[in-house]
Amino acid sequence: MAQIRLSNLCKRFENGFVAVDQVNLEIADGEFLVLVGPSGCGKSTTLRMIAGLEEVSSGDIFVGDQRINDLEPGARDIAMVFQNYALYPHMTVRENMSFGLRMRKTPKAEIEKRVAAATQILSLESLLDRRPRQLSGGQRQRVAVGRAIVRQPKAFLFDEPLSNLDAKLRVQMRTELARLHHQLRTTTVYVTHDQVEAMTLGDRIVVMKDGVIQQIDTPLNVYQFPANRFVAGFIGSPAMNFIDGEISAGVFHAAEMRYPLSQPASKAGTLEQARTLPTGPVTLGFRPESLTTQDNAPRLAEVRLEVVEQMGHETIAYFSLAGNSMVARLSGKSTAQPADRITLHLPVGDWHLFARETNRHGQQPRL
Amino acid sequence: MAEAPKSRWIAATRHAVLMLFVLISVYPVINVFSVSLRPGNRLRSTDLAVIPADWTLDSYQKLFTEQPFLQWLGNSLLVSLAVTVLGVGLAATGGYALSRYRFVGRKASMLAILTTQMFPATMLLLPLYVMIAYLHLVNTFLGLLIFYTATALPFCLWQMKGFYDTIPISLEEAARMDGCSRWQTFVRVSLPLAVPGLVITALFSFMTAWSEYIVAAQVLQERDMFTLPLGLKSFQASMSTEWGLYAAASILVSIPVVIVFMLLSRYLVSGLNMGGVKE
Repeated sequence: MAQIRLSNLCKRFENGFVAVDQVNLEIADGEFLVLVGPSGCGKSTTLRMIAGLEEVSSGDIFVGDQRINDLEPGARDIAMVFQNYALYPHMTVRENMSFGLRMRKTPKAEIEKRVAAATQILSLESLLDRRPRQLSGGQRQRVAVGRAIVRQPKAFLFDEPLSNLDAKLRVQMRTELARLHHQLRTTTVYVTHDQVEAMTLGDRIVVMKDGVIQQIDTPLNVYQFPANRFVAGFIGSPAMNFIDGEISAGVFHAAEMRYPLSQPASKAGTLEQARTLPTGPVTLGFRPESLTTQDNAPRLAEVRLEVVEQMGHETIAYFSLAGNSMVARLSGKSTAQPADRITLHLPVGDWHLFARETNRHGQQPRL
Repeated sequence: MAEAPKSRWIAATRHAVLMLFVLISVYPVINVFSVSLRPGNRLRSTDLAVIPADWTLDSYQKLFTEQPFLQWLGNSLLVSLAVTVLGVGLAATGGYALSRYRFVGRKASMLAILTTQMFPATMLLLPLYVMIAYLHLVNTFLGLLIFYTATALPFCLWQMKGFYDTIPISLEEAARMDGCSRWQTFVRVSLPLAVPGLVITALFSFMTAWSEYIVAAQVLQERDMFTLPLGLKSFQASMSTEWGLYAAASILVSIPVVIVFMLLSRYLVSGLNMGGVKE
């Protein structure tokens, strides 16, 4: 086990495309770090550079104190789980799992011991002599994970390992991976575009866009204190609602809508807030789950619902506000119907302000 | 079940067509087989019996006792196996390079290889013969080996390249993560998965050499050096043709090919790569 450090890591492809731009990252020993972002954001390329499958254009990668830029993938003592499993079709499960150890000339008894341990952890005992084509998708994924853990590497790399599984299996494997990490405590870098995986698995999340890191923080901090509008919109499902407008005298205006950002000076905290509120053009952001129909919070607007999705445990309502499509996440017991007019309220402080030009998060102090 | 009679008709028609083609392909073989069993004085008989009443193995016996048939068989086997080994070796490695590596001149060389296939072999006969003559390889098996490998290789290279292209690159990446060098990755992962391609390449190389006549007739000149097709042709003298020997030898010549085909055909299965990755 070891910590991984990326220093000014860049990847420029031959056609000039910069996939990864000046990435600096420290992954602590035993940490589960998730790289998340839309496709083409450079997260997979970053992972493949750590693996040694992609050449580094500039910058350094350290595992422990060793600079591994120029090491062959096999010499880096890192194991990787691929999106498409990449099991060797001509080998049995046992051979697939032991291949890496055999290549390293590990003693036979040791190989058997480790394969046995891994098969037990992953409950693969009955499948050892099967070939990959005789396995289901979930079983293949477990074998791929098993192949990584028998090597007892310094770090695991996961490249969207669950994206090929069906929804139910994905949830199951996700918890299994969490349990596995809890058990093994191996440094892990996990790439995904699925924010649920990012939120649930990661000790910390790295949000990337266009090859640049947008934010590095714990899942809850990323959710509660997004660094910019991109992160705010990317993390959270349904995504955060945004509306462009202006602030004057502590009130947000957009078209005919008005929302008081600062409350009457009865509460000490909000008084402080009112003093630091910016004025002029801003983007107001609020999460669908912040909206409520209860009138003990400041009124946001009266809206006409366009589509209502009743999920049972919650109700997702779609509406337009000042020309923007928006989503509200209401109680599962809500009886709202399409075309209903309802009044939505947004609790004090449950909003984010973003500077219009930079899209940077403004206002809300870090708690 | 209303469709049952219709599908039965289709099946019947399909079988009828297949039977027709079986008949067309088997008839000459049966005819030759029949001739090979006839006594010397009845070779041109119009008798329809497959095995003549007075059948004899004289022709076969003569082939082995009075003619250097075994020598030719040995020559043919030597040349064909050498071409197979060399062809498969070069196509397996060359095709891999064309499939996996990006180097200057890759596209150009692939096109050049393809271009050679546009010329009929007989057209290349003269220049290749001149080259082989300069190299003092006339009347040697090495000369023939170079000739055959050169003609079979372009097809085999493309064949293998196409095959490697179907092997997901992530399998090789997984192998490299598992500690394989480039060469180990090739030998332990790519090559085993390319077995069907290798088999086709091997069959093609073997057949190219085994049944070839025109080139062999130019390169080989002594009767003892002949390969089987040349040997067979030598039964066809200017005045008379020894049809009995010819027929018997033809039957014997085709046996190894059938055996090779049967041995290798079980590797010609599709879906060998299935299950390893999910696209």
